[in-house]
Amino acid sequence: MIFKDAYVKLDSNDISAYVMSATLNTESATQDSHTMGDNWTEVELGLKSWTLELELKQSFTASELDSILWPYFNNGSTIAVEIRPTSSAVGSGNPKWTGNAILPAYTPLQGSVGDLASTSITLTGVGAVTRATS
Amino acid sequence: MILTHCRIYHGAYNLSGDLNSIELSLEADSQDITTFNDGGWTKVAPGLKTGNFALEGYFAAGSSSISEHLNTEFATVGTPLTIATNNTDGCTAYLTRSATAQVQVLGGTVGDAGKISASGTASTDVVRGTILIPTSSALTATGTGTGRQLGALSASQALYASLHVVSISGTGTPSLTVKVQSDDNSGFTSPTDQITFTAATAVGAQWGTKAGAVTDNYWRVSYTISGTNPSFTFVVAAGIGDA
Repeated sequence: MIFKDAYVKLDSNDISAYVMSATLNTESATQDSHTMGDNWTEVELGLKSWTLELELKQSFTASELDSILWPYFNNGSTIAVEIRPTSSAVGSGNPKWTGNAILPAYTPLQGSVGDLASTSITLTGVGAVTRATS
Repeated sequence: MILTHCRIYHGAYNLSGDLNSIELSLEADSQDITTFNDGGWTKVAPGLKTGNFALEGYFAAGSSSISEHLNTEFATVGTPLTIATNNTDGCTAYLTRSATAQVQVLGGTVGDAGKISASGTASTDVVRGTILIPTSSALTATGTGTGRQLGALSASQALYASLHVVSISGTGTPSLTVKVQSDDNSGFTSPTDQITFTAATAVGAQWGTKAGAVTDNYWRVSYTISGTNPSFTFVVAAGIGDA
């Protein structure tokens, strides 16, 4: 599958048109649990966490990307996030991942003269991310 | 959007002609709030927010140069800093006051264009706002800027405004008094003065605030210019933030 039609929604805002790259990371903390008598390390998995990294084409036009992201950062509000591999309907071939997140960092403006205005954000999960096929 | 017309105002200086790179980064300290009821997933909440800025450009010395300006600003707190995404009336701008902690006063290899850079932290709230008066042309007579529907202020909000006067000419003690006004209609039939900056008779910068609640949601700049053949180049930005 060539990744060219990913769907990303923050609350009711479909920001897919701004997305240049998207990476959904899930991780489980590793806790050492080896004891005397073990010849190999043993681990158990602890708390789970997730992040969604987005590289975005920035826009300062009214109602566009910067006006969407700024209040998420400034107000610290919880964001309902959805991401799919394509913009097609959710199905077994096009699952969706959903969860709540916050935006703890935002760089609205960065770059040199002549650069494309862009911004990279990392949404940090608040609770579970859920995979669904319907 | 290609970054070609950003405007950076720091104190009395328009640094746009010296800088070729800008970064404004904002961060909220993430606090872990995970409990046993959270199903094995972590939960975080945002804490205190911080704004950081980094400016890079080309070295130039002399009177009113970037080198002179940053030498003055090094280790200085409270200078108004306005970063606009364009040089047009009504464009988005971020405004704050700076604490300039690092200045690389001169850098480069033989044959390079000499470089200069500065970075620091916002010493107060960073506010997302709007340019109400751009510096695209000098102003020579009393007038008003274009009204913008920035919104009303709740009791927990404030309007923040920055004024950067970057050039003055004329005789007979040219003076500029700038006010930020509000009204409940776009025609400004009954404007209310909400912020009045101190009359400027020299280049400089000022920071103003108006605490809510204010029910008016239209805002504009009114300016009074006096003197003989006066000419002022100045920029005003304003935005709504937490009180």
